[in-house]
Amino acid sequence: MSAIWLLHTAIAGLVVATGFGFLAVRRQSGGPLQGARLLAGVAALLLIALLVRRGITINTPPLVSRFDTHVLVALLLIAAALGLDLLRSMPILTIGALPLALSSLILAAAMGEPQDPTAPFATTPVAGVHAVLILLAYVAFAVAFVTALLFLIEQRQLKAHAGQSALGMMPSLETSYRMTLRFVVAGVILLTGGILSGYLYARGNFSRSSGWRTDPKIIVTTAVWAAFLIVAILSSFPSFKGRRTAVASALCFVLSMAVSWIASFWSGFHRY
Amino acid sequence: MELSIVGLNHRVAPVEVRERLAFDDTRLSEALDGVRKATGAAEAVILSTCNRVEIYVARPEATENEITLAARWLAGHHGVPEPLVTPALYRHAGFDAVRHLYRVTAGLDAMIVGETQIIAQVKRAYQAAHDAGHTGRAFNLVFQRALAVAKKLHATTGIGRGQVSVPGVAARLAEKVFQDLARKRVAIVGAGEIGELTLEAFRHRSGIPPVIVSRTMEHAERLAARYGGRGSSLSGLAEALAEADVVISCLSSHEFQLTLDLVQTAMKARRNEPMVILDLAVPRNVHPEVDLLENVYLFNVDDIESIAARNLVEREKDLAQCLPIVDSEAQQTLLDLGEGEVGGLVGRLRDTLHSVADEELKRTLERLGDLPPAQREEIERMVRRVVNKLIHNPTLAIKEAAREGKEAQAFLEAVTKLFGIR
Repeated sequence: MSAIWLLHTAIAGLVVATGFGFLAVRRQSGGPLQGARLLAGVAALLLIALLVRRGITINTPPLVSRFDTHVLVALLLIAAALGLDLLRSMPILTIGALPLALSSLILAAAMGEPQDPTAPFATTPVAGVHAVLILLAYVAFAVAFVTALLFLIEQRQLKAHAGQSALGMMPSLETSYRMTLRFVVAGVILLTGGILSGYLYARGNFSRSSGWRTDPKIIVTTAVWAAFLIVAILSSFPSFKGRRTAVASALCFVLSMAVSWIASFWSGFHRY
Repeated sequence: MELSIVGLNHRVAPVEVRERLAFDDTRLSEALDGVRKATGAAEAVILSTCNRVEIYVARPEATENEITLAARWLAGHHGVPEPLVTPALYRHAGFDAVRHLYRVTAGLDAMIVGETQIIAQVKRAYQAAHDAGHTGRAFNLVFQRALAVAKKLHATTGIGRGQVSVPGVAARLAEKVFQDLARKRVAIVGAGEIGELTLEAFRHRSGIPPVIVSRTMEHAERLAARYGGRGSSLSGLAEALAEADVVISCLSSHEFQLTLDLVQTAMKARRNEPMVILDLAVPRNVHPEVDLLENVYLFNVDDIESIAARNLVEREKDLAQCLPIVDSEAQQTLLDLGEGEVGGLVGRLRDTLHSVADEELKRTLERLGDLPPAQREEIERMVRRVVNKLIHNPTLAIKEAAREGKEAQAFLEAVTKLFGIR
């Protein structure tokens, strides 16, 4: 089984799981929901198999390309959503996270598996910590994005006094909001750790003249960190509570993902 | 007696229309006087709840325009233009009217199918009309039977399962906003029956002592003592709003008690923390613009209908079980009502004929002089048998006509006239 075969099978599984998810919301039915959870779980297992296979092939932790990053982000996202769904009985989180994970995998498939031999990623433990923390931070922001969207959808329906049918699977408004805040704060903390560990690694490995301080990826990541920190701080202001915080979290995530992805192509220090 | 009903409910009229036609409990007797004068009804009952306004009238004989008169009076009484009210009204007469009342009383026509609160509301409406002398034999029979049928349906069918009520659904709506109601403070504005029912619905959900706001401190404190909360008069409403996460308003009032300014001030005081306001009153207590405030979630009785719609689907089987029983009970009531009238007429016919026979018998016995007691008794028995035989066929025909319904009134009038019955 090649990495691409595993990837395509996982994508197919997630497409069907996403379909089941929307069907579950539409019909308020448990059957399609179980199908979505099961297929998401199967897709996660396939992605684990893919990363293990990649690790064996390149003989290093599979985090050496954008392909690996997208696969890992999708896997972490599915795992986080399924975990929270099972722990806190929030099926809508799985349903909401599936399209994001699917997008990440489609991007990975578009790039294709890198065939050229790649340099080992983590030359020191600090570099490994840096990459893992940054990835976890983006996963936290992705979960915050999903919960912020849930909050906005539910708030809109409650304000519109719409029928309660679509709200059946939704967590309470307060739950969505609190989760958004918690994941934004968690993301900021993880990103702080990621940036600091990256700074330590770069200072020890690159000279000042190498220009690593002005690397587009580093600048964008710092801007993302600042943006989410501002959202976290503003959320404690009365006038910013609720919808404004949710909108800001969601917008920050979309913008940060887009800018960060584009910036990675200009980065001389990041291959992902 | 011809029964009819004119009214509107949550299905045909939004709360904005219903609240304009709602009756004030304290002026119900006056309203009943008015509707009887306007329609020429012998009996009248007004049922005014959050979800419906219905006028029940009974007249000795049917007239073509009594329903129109009631509709016109309803609009006029509340100063609402007739064209605004009339299209929303439903009208029932005879069997349909009785069946409608039975469905309403049993909660089959309610927003929350099977709710029990309506039984008490119908009972109160009937009692108010009865105490003020606006009910007679017809409505005493029909309303008492309606209450009995409702109790029977709740006891013998699945319609009463789950103790569904508007306050119960309101609590579920609050749970859509808050993760855990146990950590939220509830404030009830209005210490009446709905206020108490709502407190009951939130009792096991909220762990923080409630705040009860009422017009009179005495009522507020009475309820607060029962539910372990704090009582307050209306002057303390702003303070109560500032500390409450869930506000349930059910005050009988024709003015908005929770104004935009008041809620805005409360939201500032609570640092814009979310607040759920459930306006269960009709007329509404909360200004509609309050809904525009950020982090304020306002629901009124009509919003509960969305949940009620789901409830209706779940209750379809129970409804199918109840409706034939209601139809049969309504039919029986009409028969009993008709037979009651017929029974009176037959009794008077018998009395009339027997009194004629008795007079003639007395005259004849006087003419015959002293007769042996055995012979006198035999003659008396013979006369009674003749009268009874003569009455037998007309009695059966009268009862038959009453059962058939349509020709009954004309037939009874003819018999009354033919035999000179008073």
